[in-house]
Amino acid sequence: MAPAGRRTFTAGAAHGYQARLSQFYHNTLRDDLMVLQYTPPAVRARQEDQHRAAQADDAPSESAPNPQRRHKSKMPRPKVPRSTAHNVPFVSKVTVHIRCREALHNKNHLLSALMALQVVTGKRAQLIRAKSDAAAWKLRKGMPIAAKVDLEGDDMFEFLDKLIEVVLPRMKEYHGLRMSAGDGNGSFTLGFDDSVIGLFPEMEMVYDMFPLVTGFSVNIATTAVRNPPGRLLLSGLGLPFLHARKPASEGQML
Amino acid sequence: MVVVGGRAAAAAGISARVRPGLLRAAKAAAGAKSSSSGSSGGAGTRRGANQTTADPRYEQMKQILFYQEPRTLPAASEEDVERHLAILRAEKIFKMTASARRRAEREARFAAMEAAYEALAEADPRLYEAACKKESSATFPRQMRVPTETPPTKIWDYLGAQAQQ
Repeated sequence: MAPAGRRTFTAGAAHGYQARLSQFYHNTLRDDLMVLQYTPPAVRARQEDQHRAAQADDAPSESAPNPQRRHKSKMPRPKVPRSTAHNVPFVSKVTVHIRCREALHNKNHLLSALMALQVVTGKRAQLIRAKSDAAAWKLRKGMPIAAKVDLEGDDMFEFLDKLIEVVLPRMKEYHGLRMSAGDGNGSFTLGFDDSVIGLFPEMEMVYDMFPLVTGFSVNIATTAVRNPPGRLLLSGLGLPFLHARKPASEGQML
Repeated sequence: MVVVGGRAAAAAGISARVRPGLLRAAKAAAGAKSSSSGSSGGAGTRRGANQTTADPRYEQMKQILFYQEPRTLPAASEEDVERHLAILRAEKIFKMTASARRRAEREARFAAMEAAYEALAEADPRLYEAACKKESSATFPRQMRVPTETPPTKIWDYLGAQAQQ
């Protein structure tokens, strides 16, 4: 196939471009997660019953008069589905969001936010308008107040790659996410202040072009239904987590 | 070139793809600036708040964000379109067959794992229970890095745990 004397190089050439983290996930991480998170259904049901029995002592009675009137934090969470070969957790969407308070008195500051998001993610940012009034901050409904970018697919993995390999190591005194991170349903949010946006490689050349430098937040939405599988997934992609040091014991996970 | 936002774009003499809402905002900002500089005794707070509108970097940003002409693809002949569609179909077939093969492999691995658990349950119940207990604070170690084409400049982090403290 190859001419004599020529070395062939087939690292994904036939497949076209695929982001590094995406390749790693599909080649390696996915199977690892499948094995690490599998519990036989009977055992899982038993574990969940035990867990619910342990919690039922503190929880209020389930027989509320009107289920629709429960506060959203008390609503029952979606059940953990039975694990199959195909429903391993995956990173579905990353949203980069800048909330620009300075836009309240000068709309032009939104341009800094839009431009920064476009520089850092490579995609066009969307303006977000206020959904309600807040007289304390002179906010009226419909005022443009923030900007965001939704990333999926290879763009998303490239952004995460830059964040994990370049930006987080350059931050001062950042050692990882806490083990309490996560909203309980598989979404993780990282918030950054205005010293961090300049650490992106694309921002190095054009930093002086920005009259206003703001902080931003990154929301990573995964298809995990609880925090522990989500944390496992993100740690596999390279996000550091802060662990309390504890001695190795026999009861550790295999 | 597509002319959108009719009167505004035509008045500006630009034939560019512009989002009408943002163009209105840009015009309003420019209008507020010019009108406030004209009327000296006008609304003082508004004029004071818009001092930084004069920042030339914002004009540059507006040009880049809203007034750049969109890039166009070169015109494609009929044969080019046929070739393009044929390539797309071939790529789709390739991806479908590869995906189906990977899916079958994954299902076989999963079935093998389930069979292994069942065998373990029959062989040794104590080990089976230990295998079923999962740590909720489990994470992959930092040493398991995502592969790269070339090795890193720092091959091994000898002081990893101590550096964290």
